[in-house]
Formats: sequence, C-alpha cells, structure tokens
Amino acid sequence: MMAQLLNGLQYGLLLFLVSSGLTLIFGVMGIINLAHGSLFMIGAYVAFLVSKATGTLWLALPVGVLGGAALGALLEWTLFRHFAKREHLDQVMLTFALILLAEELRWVVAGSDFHSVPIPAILDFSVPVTSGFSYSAYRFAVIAICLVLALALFWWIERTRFGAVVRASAENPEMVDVLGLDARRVHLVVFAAGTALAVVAGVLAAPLTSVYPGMGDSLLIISFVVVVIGGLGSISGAFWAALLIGLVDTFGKAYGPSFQGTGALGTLLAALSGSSVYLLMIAVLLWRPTGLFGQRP
Amino acid sequence: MSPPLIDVRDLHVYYGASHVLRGLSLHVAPGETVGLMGRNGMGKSTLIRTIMGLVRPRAGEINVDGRPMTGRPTFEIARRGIAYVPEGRGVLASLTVLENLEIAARPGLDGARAWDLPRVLELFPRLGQRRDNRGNQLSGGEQQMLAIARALLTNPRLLILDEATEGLAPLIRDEIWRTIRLVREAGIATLVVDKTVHEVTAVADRVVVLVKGEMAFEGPPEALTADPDLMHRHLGV
Repeated sequence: MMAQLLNGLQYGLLLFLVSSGLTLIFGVMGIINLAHGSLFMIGAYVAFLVSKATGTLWLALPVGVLGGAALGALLEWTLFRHFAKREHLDQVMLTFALILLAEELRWVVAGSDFHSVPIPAILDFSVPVTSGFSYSAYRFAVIAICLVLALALFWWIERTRFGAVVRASAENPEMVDVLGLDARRVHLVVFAAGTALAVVAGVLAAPLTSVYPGMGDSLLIISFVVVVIGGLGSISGAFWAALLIGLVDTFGKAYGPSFQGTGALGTLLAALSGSSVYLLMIAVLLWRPTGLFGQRP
Repeated sequence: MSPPLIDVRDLHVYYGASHVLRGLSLHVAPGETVGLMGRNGMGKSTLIRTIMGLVRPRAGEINVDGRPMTGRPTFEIARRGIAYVPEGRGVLASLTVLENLEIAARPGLDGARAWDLPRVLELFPRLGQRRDNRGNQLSGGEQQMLAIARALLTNPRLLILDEATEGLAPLIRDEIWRTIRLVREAGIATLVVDKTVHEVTAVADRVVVLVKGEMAFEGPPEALTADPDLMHRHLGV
C-alpha cells in the first residue's frame, strides 16, 4: 500500500514535468504540441546514450536540461513561431511530422531494441521507511528532483516579472503587444523551458521504465488527460491533475485485477481498472467542463 | 519644424466587404491634446487600432516621428512612445494590480523614468490599497485607473484613451478627467475618444469628428460648440 502510494506520487510528478510544458505552450502560444511525448523519449535515449558512454547517469541531467532548452529554442525559432497563427490542422501536421522524425532519428542512433539504463550506483539501494517496508532510493531522488523543479516552476511563473508576462500572454496576447512587450521572446523562452522539462522527465524515467521505441506516445496521451483535467493552460491545474492521475492509475492497475472473481461487479471493476484515468477524465469533464482549474467561460 | 508625433495619411480599412475607414488622415503634434468624436460605428476605435498596428490598412500610411511604421508589429509602435488604453481597459485579470503595473514599467524614448511606481500610486492611491488584488477583483473605476496608470508607466509621449469614462460613476469620471488634464500639463500628447462633448471640448486643443470613416469636422473646440447644427447632426447633442 505504502509502495503504491509512493509509486503513484513519483509517476504523477514525472507526469507533471511533461504536462506542465504541454499546458504552458498551449496557454501561451495556442499550439498543441503532439511531439511533446517525443521530447520525453529523446530525454530517455539521452540518458541511455550518456550512461553507456560515461558509465553514469549524472551527466545526462545537465545534458538534458541544456540540450533540451537549446532544442526547444531551435524548434520554436525555426518552426513553431511560423505555425502559431495557422490553423490547428497545420499544427497537427507539423507536430505529427516531428514525431515521425524523432522515431526515425531514434532508429538511426539507437536501433529498435529495448535498452535498460542502470540506476546510478550511489542511489542503488533501498531506504527503510518502516520496520517492514523499504523503498528505492532512486525513486525517492526522482520525487525530490521533481518537487524541486515544480517549486522552481511555480516561483518562476507566479512570483517573477517574466512569469507575470507569461500569464499575461496566455490571457490577452494583444494587450501584451500594446504594452510594448515582445511576445516572440516570451514564446521562445516558454517553449525552451517546456522542452527542457519534458527531456529531463525522460532522463529521470529511463532507469525506471527502460527505453524503447514509441515510449513517448502513451505518455503523451496521459499528459493530455492531465492537461484537460487540470484545465488548459493552468500550471497548478496540471500539478494537482498529474498527482491525481498518477495515484489513480497506479492504484487502479495494482488493485483493480484483485476484484477478479468476486462476482459480476468485481469482474467489471477489474476490466475497467486499466482505463481508470479515462473514467476519471469523463467524470471531471461532466462535473467541470473546463477542468479543475480552467477559466470559467 | 519637427514632424508630427503621429501622422496618418489616406487610410483605407476594410472589415470584409465593409469599408470602415475611407481615406482618413489625422495627425497629432507633440504635446497636443486631440479629441476624437463621432457616433458609434463611425470608425474611431478602428482608426486607433490601425495606428497601433492591430488592424492592417488596405491602403494609406502611418508615420511616427516622420518614420514609416505601416505594417510594423504593435510592440514596436508602442515602443516609439505610444500608449493605448483600449475600450474595455485591457486589465489582466490573472495578474495582481502590482503585476499589471510592473510588466508595463519602462523608461521612455528619452531614457527618463518620469512616471514610476511611487508616482502613479500617488496619482491613484486606491491602486496602492489594492496592489495585491487580482485584476478581476477590481471595480470598473479601479480597472480604468489601473489601465491609465499602467499606460503612464511606459513613459509615453502620446496617450490614447478609448472611451475611458464610459460606464463609470460621476465621481470616478471626474477623477479620470482630472488625470487627463494632469497628463496634458505634463506635456504628454493625448488622443481622447469620448462621448461627453462638453468635457472633450473643454480639454482638447483640437477636435476631430468622424462620420462613416471620413472626417466630418476638424478644428478648434470653439468652432464645434459654436455650430449647434453640426453637433446635432454628427454627435446627436
């Protein structure tokens, strides 16, 4: 039970790193980036390649942060800014093409095999939590790193002048222009930050899930569920929704099947447990169509 | 003689098939107060939005300090020292009062910060009391004060006010008009769009009346008030 709680928390926090970038980029630029899951995959492969080359995962973190930010800035500057005012279909075509390119690149660089990434040696032990229960030190480290990043992101968006401009751009881009602020700079920085967060999430997840083709796809779909439940464009919404989804998904998959064989209702519950997060999304949207933290229409 | 601060020539603007501005020209000199009047739908807001680069003219040119700015992005036009308080005020609801002010603050084109946070809070003490409230928690009057204070913090040379007193209580209206006079005395040019004829004519150096996207009158305010027939026909008073 305790282990599932911590697993759910850790999964939810990783989901937040991915979905916060997704929701920020949508809020500020109006673009739904389908390739956001590919950025997560790129992060995982960076972890694999760096730890294979250097024997340790640690170097992959700065490479992920700086490389991710640089990649995001490059993508925004060369592609996304030219699509911000175009139709959604054009944006879907662009971001879907990027998914295909990322998969092709992955195949050229690392092939199509599954690879495992070793947990860093100094975190490869278990922390005793209670007398009868201990938990992976690496997973604790992931929880801690994610919490620090989440706090930093909150502080940046909610407490700094630049963060105020980001919120202003999401609410009323025309007024930001009228005040003489250059929205292109805001877009560049937000896109770079969102990309770096997704790449770092991939780096952190690599030792937990191993790395494999298409690993960003299922995460992308769950991240969309998070963004929709939290309310499009809302950072705090994404945070609480990510934790909720992380816990519901983990508990659903851990305990759902145990209802099997306890009558018709039990069989139904067991069958539905794999889709618990989608049922949750339907319930939230019926209750609050704009998500938990979404703007009222 | 120095070129006009803004000089708009022969502007034609269309919304779809409708011809909203029909060869309109307008200039504002440094330090000058111009009143822009006309009934609803005559093109006043469109003219301002075109000056700000928010609407693209089909033909015509927009010059700031004699430099062509037609088709330039809005933030560049704003950075030439033009502040615009839109109809509806444009207060950012998800930002606090202080954040609304802080994101706008910058030195003027001459590098000076004549208007800084203490000075606008002195001008509108109410904003100081509500500094940590979000934009959507303010009354209409407070929002208008915030929008004007925010515009002044950009240290503009021209302040454009679109219907700044519309829908406000009489006491607040008076406060806004007092502020407009103060801005005028500080040497900032203003372009005031308003329906309150006696207030506009009292404050303006020159008055322009638009009818169906064309200039129906341009001249000193006394010439307008001396012509009841013109006022009745074009302003409904």
